Amino acid sequence: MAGLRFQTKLTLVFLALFLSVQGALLLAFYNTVTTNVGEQVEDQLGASTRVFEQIIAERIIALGEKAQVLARDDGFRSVIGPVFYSEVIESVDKATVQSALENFSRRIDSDLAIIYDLESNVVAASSGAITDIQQLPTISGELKAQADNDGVASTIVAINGHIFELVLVPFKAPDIIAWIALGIEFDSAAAEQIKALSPIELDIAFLYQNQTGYHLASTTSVRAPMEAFVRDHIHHDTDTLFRRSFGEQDHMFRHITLEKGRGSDATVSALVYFSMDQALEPYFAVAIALSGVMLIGMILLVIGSMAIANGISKPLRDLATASQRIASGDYTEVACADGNDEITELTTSFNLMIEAVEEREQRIVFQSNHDVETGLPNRNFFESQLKQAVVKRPEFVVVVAEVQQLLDLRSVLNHTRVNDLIASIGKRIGNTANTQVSRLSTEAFIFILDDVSHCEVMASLISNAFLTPFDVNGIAVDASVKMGFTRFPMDSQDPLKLMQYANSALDQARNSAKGYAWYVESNSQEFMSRLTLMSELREALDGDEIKFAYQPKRDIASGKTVSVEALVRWISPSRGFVSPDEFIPFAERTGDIKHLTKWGIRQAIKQCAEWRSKGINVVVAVNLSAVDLMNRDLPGEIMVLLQEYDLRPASLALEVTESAIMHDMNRALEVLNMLSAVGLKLSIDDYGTGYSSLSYLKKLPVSELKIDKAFVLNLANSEEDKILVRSTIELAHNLGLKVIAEGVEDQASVDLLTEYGCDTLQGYFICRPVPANEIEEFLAIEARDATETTETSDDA
Amino acid sequence: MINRYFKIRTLQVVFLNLFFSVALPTHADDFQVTVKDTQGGVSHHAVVELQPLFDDDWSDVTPVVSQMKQQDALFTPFVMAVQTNTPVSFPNLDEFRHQVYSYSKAKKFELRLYGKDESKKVVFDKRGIVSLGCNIHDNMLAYIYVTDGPYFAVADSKGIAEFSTVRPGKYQLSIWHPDQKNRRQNYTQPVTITADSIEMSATIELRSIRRKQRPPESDEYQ
Repeated sequence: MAGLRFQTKLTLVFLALFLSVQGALLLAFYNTVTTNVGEQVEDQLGASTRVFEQIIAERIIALGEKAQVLARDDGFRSVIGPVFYSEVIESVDKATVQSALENFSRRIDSDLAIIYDLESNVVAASSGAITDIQQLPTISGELKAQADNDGVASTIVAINGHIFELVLVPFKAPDIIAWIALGIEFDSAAAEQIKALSPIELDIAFLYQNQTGYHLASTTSVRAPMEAFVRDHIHHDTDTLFRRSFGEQDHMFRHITLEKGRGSDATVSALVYFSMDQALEPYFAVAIALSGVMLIGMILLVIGSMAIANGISKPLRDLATASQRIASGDYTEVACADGNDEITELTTSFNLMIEAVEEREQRIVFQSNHDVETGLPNRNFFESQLKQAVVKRPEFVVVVAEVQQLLDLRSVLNHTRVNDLIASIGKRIGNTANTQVSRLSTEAFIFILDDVSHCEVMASLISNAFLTPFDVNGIAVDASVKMGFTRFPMDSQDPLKLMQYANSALDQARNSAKGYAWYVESNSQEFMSRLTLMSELREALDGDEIKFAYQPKRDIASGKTVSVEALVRWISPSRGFVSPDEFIPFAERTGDIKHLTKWGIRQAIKQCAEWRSKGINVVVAVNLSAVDLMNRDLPGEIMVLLQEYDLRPASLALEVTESAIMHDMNRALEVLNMLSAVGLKLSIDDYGTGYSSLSYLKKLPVSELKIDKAFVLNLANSEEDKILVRSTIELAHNLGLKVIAEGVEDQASVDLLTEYGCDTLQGYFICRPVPANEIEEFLAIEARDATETTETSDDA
Repeated sequence: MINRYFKIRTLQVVFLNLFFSVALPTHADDFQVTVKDTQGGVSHHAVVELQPLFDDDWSDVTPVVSQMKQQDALFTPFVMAVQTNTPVSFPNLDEFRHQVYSYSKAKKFELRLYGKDESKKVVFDKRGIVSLGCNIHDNMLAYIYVTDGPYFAVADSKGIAEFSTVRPGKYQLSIWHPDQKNRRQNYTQPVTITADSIEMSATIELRSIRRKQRPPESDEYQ
C-alpha cells in the first residue's frame, strides 16, 4: 500500500470495502438460498418419499385385488379347481392351467403370474422375460401364512436384475388348493409412472442388493451413469438422506428400503433423488441480477473513486510539482481552481507560503549582503564584489576607511543616531569617490577605486569632504576618517589578502598625519609578528609564563586592605617582560582575550581560596574586556569555578572599563546584570577617561567607581583635577556608589582624597603590584601596624 | 384301573401327540372320545371314526338321510360325516340363490342355481373328503366326510365325539380335521374297546390358521 499512488489506494480501499460488503451480502444470500433450498428439497424429498411409498403400496393393493379377483373367478376356478383335487396332475391339465393363467395375465396386464401347488412347486407360470423356471421366486411359508390370514400378501423381489412387486393369494376351491402369485415389474416405465405422480420433478432408481453389493434394476435417469453411480456410491444401509454429485449436478438423495431381503433374497431399495441445481435454478436469475448490479456498482465505484481521487490528487500533484519548483528557486504561483473545498484552501495557503518564502528569501539575500544598522552593503557583499573585480579588472585599489573617535561619538550620540551617522559617512564617501561603499566593521568602510593613479587625490577629496560636519538629527557632528590603500594586482591577487593588506595599511594610517597610507610589506610583517605574539600568549597561558601581580586597595575608614586587584604579568622566556599594553589591546582585537580572562578568573579564584584557607580574607578583583562582556556564558562559568573552590561570589570582584561597556551597551548590560545577580561585585574601571555619561551610570549594576589614575597622579598640584575628583566622588556617593582612586603615589593625594571622602585607595604609595606571597607579608605588616596604631592611640 | 391309567400316561410321554384314557364303561353302547389339540384346546369339527379290526356284521347299518343347509350364506353344519351312499339334501333357507359345488375327488358336483326352499339331493357314493363351496358366496365352506365304516362322529364344540352303539373289540381310531397339520395323513391309533369302555381322548396336531366359514359381513349379500 505504501508505494501506491493515492488514487490507486483510494480506489482499492473503496473497492475492498464494497467487495467485502457485497461479498457478505452474496454469502448471506447464497447461504440462505442454499440452506432454504436444501431444507425445501429435503422436505419435498421426504414428502415425495411418502407419496412414493404410498404409490407403491397402492399398486400392490391394486395388484392384490386383481389376484383375488382371479382366485375367485368362477370360470378360472372351474377349470383349475378339479385339476388340483386330482391325485396326479395330467399334462393336458397342466397345459390348460398354463394357458388359462397366460390369458388371465394378459387380461390384467401383469408381468408375472405363477401358480404354485400347496407344496410351493410351480405348476404354471406366465413369466415374460424370465424363461428359466428356476429363477422364479420361491414363496416362503411366512408369506403364505400371511396370504392365508389376510387373503393377500405382498413382497418385492429381485429376479435376474429385474425387480417385481409380487402379490400372493390363496386359490380356494373352496379349500386352498393352490397359490397364485402376480407380479409387476418396477421397470423404467413403472418408475416414470411413479415419477409422473410425484409433486416434484424427482428421479427414481430401483436397486437390489446381493452379495456383490447394490445394483441398478431400473431408473428414470440415463441408465449407464446411474449404474456407475450406484456401483460407486451406494454401499451403506438404506433409509438415509445424503447429497452427492451425479451427472455433474448436485443431487439430494433418499435411499429407501422397499423389501428387506430374507435369507438369500435380495434387499430391494429405491433411490429417490432431486437435482439441487434444478432446485436452485429459480435463484440463478436472482444471482445473475445481483451479480449484474454488483458489477455495475463496482464500475461506478471505480469511476467515482477515481474521480474523487483525481479531484484530490491532481491538485496535490500540482502542489508537489510546485514544491519542487520552489526548491529550485522558481516562485511562480500555483493555478487555483475556484471553490470552497479544502484543496482550494490548501492551494491558497500554498500560494501565500510561496509569497512569504519569496519575500523572506529576498530579505535574507538583502541582509546577507547589507548591514542591518545602516542599510549599506556589508563585508559579504564586498567580498563578492572584490572577487568579481579580481577577475574582470586589470588593476584597482582597495581602500579601507576608518571613522576616528567613533567610541567617543557613541558616548555622545545614542545608538540609532550613531547608525545614522555611519550611514551618512558611508554615503558621503561613496558620493565623493563615486563608488559602492561597503561597511567592513563597526567603524570601517571598504571600497574599490578603479583609477589607481588618482588614488591619493581621491584620498584628499574624501578627507576634505569630512570638513563639513554631519547633521545627525539636528546635531552637527564632526568626524574624520583614516584610509589604508592596497593595489591589485601589485600587492596581492588574492581578495582576502587584499583586504588584510588594506587593514594593515590602515594601521599605519592611524598614526599618519596625511590620514592615509599605502600598504607596504613591513606593515604586514608587524601584523604577522603580533599574530605570532598571540599564539605565544596562548602557549604562555598553558605554561607558567603568565602570572598575576596583586595590588592592594586600602579602605580609608578602617585603614585595612580589603581587596586586591589582580594584574597580568607576562615574562616571556624569549621576549622578556611583555607589557600588558603590548598584548592586551591586540588580544582584544583577535579575541584571544577570552583565553586570558578564563585563565585570570580561575587563577584569581584559586588564589583567593588559597588565602582564605590561610585566614586571609581579601576580595580579588579581575579586569574584564569588552569581548568578555559579550559572553553570556561568563556568569555561569564563574559560578562553576566558585563552586569548585567553595568560594562565595562576594570574594570575587570584576572591573570593567567604560569603553568595554559602550562597545555594545545593551548586551554588556545584560551580562553585567547577570553577574551582579549572582552576587559578584562590579566596579567601573578608569572612570573619567571616556565620554562618561551620567545617565547610563545609574543603569549599571555596579557598586564601585574607580577614578582613573590620570586625575589622581597629579592631584595635589592640579586645581582642575581636584575639582573633577571631588565632584566625581560626590556624584558617585549620591548615586550610592563607593569610590576608589588609583594612582595614589604621595601623602598629599592620600590626604586630599581622604578629605574628599574617597572610600578606597590604590597606588604605589600604598603598595606596588606584588606577587601573592608578598601580599601576604604586606597584609601581615599592615595588621601589625594597625595593632600598634591602636595601641598608640590607646596610649594617647 | 389306577395302575392302567398311569401306564397310559407313560405312553403319552413317549408319543407326544397321543393321549387317551379309557374310563370304566358301564355299557359298551355309550362311548365318547374327547379330541384335543396340541395347543391345549379342544378340536371342534374333528371327525372321529372307529374302524373295526374284526369281522363286523353290523355294517349294514341303515344310512341316515342328512342335511347340509344353507342359511345366512353359511353352510350348516361346517363338518358333516356320512356313510357312503348316503343321500345328502342341500336345503336353501336363504332368500337368495346358491350354487354349491365340489371339485373333490370323492364327489365332484355342482348344484346349479337354486332358490329358497329348494332342496337338492346328492348321494355320496365314494369315501373321502368333499369340500363344499358356493360359486356365489366365497365365504361359504363346508366339509363332508364320507366313510364306509359304521362308527363315526363329529366332535362338538367341547371336542367330544359321542358314539351310541359300539361293540367291544379292537378298532383303529382315526381322526380327521379340516385343519389338521398333515392334510394327507389322518390321526390313527389302534384301540381296544371293552364293555366297560365309556370314554377316551386323543390329541391331534392342528395348524395355527383354521379353516372356517366366515359369516358374511353385514349386508354383504343382501
